[in-house]
Amino acid sequence: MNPAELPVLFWTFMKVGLFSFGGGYPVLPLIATEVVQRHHWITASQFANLLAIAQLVPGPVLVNTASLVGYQVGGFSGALVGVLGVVLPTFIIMSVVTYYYKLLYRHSLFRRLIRGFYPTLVALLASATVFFAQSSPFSWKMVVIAGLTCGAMATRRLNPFWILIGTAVLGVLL
Amino acid sequence: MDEETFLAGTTLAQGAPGANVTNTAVFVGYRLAGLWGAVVALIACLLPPLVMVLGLGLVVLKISRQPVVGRIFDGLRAGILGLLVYLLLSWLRPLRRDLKGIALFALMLFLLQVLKWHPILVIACGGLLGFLSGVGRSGDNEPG
Repeated sequence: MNPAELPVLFWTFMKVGLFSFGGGYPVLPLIATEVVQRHHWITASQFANLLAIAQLVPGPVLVNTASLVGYQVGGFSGALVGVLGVVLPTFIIMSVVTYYYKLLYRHSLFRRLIRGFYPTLVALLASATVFFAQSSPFSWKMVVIAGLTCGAMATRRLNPFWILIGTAVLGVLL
Repeated sequence: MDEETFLAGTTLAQGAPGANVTNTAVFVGYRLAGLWGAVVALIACLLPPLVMVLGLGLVVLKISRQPVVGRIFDGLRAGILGLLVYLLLSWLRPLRRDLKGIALFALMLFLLQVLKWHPILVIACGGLLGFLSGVGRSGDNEPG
């Protein structure tokens, strides 16, 4: 890619970091909108593949996604720029929050803010789910594996990592 | 650091934007050794996944032409979809008895999916609406 695009990548992931409430998944629609639809850096299908790797590798999904998308867009420097971009706003905000943490933690407005955000986070998660369902062509194989995964998660006894390894095996066998 | 401080830190880390792990690292680092402590904690938290992701990314990109890899990714993507469905169902549970919350959820989903609003706009509007209407005041509906 053109090195002149690195600042655009940085700015894009700074926006992602700034609005990444609720951890990794609710922010997926934002990343997809920016990276796939707006800048056309990667396709929806590529994005879904990167996300699968981001989930498998240890570390926060948000940071892993930033480094993988960054890598796909601009190699090693792209990965570094993506991670720095996504981390910078959260670092600044969290430092300020920590500085005033006693004040914030006791304050009921903070709790009200978190509760007020919740329905929107669930809506973003639903949107991420729809995006993911649409990123692959429909097949019964996909429905079966997704159903099995959902059921395996519901037992709450299995580690998500091993469940995903199982889905990879099923992907080859079925 | 005592337990109560750490608990406050994790709660704030969940509320602030960003991954919970890195936010907690910044909190702990900052409390123990000031701003530089926060920087060190964050970098220590980022380096291992960054190295692994890039290592794996290189390998995967090299072999991604193989048909077997395509099938592995088909499985993984279906797995992530199942994971998301499970997560969505468990996040929807706390909204059961919260009519205002359900209405807000439906409205935001409509703005995202049908009117194709930009997610940042939806986050800003949804957050503000939820804050002003005092959604979920009775229940404890933080994500699990």
